[in-house]
Amino acid sequence: MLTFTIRRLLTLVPQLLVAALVVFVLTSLLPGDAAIARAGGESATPELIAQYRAQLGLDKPLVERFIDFVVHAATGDLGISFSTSEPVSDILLRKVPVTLSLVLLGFIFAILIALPLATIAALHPRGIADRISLAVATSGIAIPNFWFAILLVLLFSLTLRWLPATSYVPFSTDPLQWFLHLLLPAITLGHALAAELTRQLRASLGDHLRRDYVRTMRSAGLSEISVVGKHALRSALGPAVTTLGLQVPIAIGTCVVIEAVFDLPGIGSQMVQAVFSRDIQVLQGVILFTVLLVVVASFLTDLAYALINPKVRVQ
Amino acid sequence: MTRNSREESAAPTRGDALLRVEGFSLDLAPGREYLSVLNDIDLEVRSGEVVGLVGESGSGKSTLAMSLMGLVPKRISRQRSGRILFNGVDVTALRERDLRAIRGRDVGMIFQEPMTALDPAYRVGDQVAEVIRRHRGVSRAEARAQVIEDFRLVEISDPERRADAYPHELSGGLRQRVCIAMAIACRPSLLIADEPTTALDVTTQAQILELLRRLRAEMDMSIVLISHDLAVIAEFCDRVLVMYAGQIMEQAMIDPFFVRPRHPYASALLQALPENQPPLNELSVLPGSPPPLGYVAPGCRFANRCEFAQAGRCDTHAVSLSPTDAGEVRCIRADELVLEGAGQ
Repeated sequence: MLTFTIRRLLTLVPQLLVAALVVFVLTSLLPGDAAIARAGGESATPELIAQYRAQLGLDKPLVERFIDFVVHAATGDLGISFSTSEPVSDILLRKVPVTLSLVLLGFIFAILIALPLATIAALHPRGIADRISLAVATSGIAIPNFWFAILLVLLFSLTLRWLPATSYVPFSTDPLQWFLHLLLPAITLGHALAAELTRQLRASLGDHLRRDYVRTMRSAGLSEISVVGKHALRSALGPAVTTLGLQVPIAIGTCVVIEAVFDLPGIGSQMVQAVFSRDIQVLQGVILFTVLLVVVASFLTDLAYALINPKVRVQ
Repeated sequence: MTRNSREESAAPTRGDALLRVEGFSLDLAPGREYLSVLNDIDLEVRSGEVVGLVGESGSGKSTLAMSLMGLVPKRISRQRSGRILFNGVDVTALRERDLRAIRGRDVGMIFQEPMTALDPAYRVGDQVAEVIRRHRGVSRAEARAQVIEDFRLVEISDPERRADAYPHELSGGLRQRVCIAMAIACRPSLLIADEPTTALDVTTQAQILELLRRLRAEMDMSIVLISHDLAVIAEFCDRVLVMYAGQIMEQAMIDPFFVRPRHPYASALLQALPENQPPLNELSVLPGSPPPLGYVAPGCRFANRCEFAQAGRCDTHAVSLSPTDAGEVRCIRADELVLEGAGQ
């Protein structure tokens, strides 16, 4: 298991390098010129534009700029925002916790819905829980997130006045308020994520419950809790974990919409803002962070998969 | 061990039925409708006895085996009649939790596919230990010691290392030994073996049968051996039950059975054994195929494939089991016919 972990960790380095290259090339290809934007538009004098270009390092060749980018990024220096002159790493430090909180709570919420629902549904095919799980899956896929979010706000914030509709409170300031402010956004995200997860888990647990080893365990007199919870569910979690891993990038994408609806100062809203102000430095930082998140998520997925399935470890 | 000495060794405990099935009928609903799968099953397994259950695929052997310990899911099954007495207790009337206490402790089961019969995610030793801990409530260390001892008992070499292996790291024969170790871990009085050697190669097959024979003698355990292989049954069992289309067609002690079967179906099965046919001849086969699941013929269920069937006699009334000198037979012409057994 340890060698598997180390081997898998080593593959992260080239993955991140390739990701950095793609991010760099893509943002460099963006239409528009940050130096011109900085200098005040097309009407600025060529001297002023050239001055800003030199100041932003945009006059250097692409290769040199890429190497600078990687070396600096590795040391935590992601440059300075073209539009606000604030260090990008400071912006990220401020915005990342918001998005991470949202994604984390969203996944917890998705698991809390999917796991019991899928388990009961698999144990009683065509029963009530099975129908509910199908309904959850269908609605999670079919209902647009922004609309679902608005419905939640209408009901819980405006009509019942139970929960706040907007803004964010840091965990360090007040954990309860942090949770309450994130509850509706997390339910929105979790609902979308639970759809796929429930379906996947329901199918794979149903499949494992028909396997011979489940019959063996039952014939040996083990309790249903052990047969289902310890044996069948463990193997059935494999595909579900893969699904979860694949949903991380989707979740981040969904965050862009959800943060907009709930006015959360996270990475998603920052990304939109950076695109509109042609703030390449910030955009690079934001995208690099999301890539890092996705790569780490896929690493954790593989790790979880190896924990579940001993056959994976040997390969 | 010869057949005679086996009978002698089991003689003192003979007579008291460990397992008795009386008029058991079961319907299964694989789809929307219930189909009759087991019909009026009567059987008895005495202490220390080895009973063979033989029949074609779909004859209901495995369903019967699962029913013995209430393992057929209630959701898709319906018991029409009868009871199953184990140690005098009606298993069909027991609550699920009481059934679970018997399973694995008093009755062990092994199945056909050792490749898939163990959980791939856990070490085999831990899986056997879980069963021991479930029924005996011993500590982890004690359970582990018992696992090693049981692995030795089922002739797994290097048991400490093997106990830490995952199922995919073991061969089919070894896995079946692990399954046997799990089944006998609590020293059950009855072992139900559903085609335990079918998925194994011939050499391993012989070793596993030899192991089961030894365990039966050492632990004084009754065995119900389910097989479609009459050669295995002949080698291993005291008594044989022949199943066809959900019914028991014949029940007899092994010795008279192979020489002189009483049911035309049993006779046809025996004659179809390749080893009983002269070489280079075309193999004799039983023509036709068993009726589809749930189909109930008006008369004898075997009549449409039976070379001795008489129209108007065999296909009008359902046939019941009638006693013979060595057991029972479900054939109205049994007394008129002299049937051929295994090639003499």
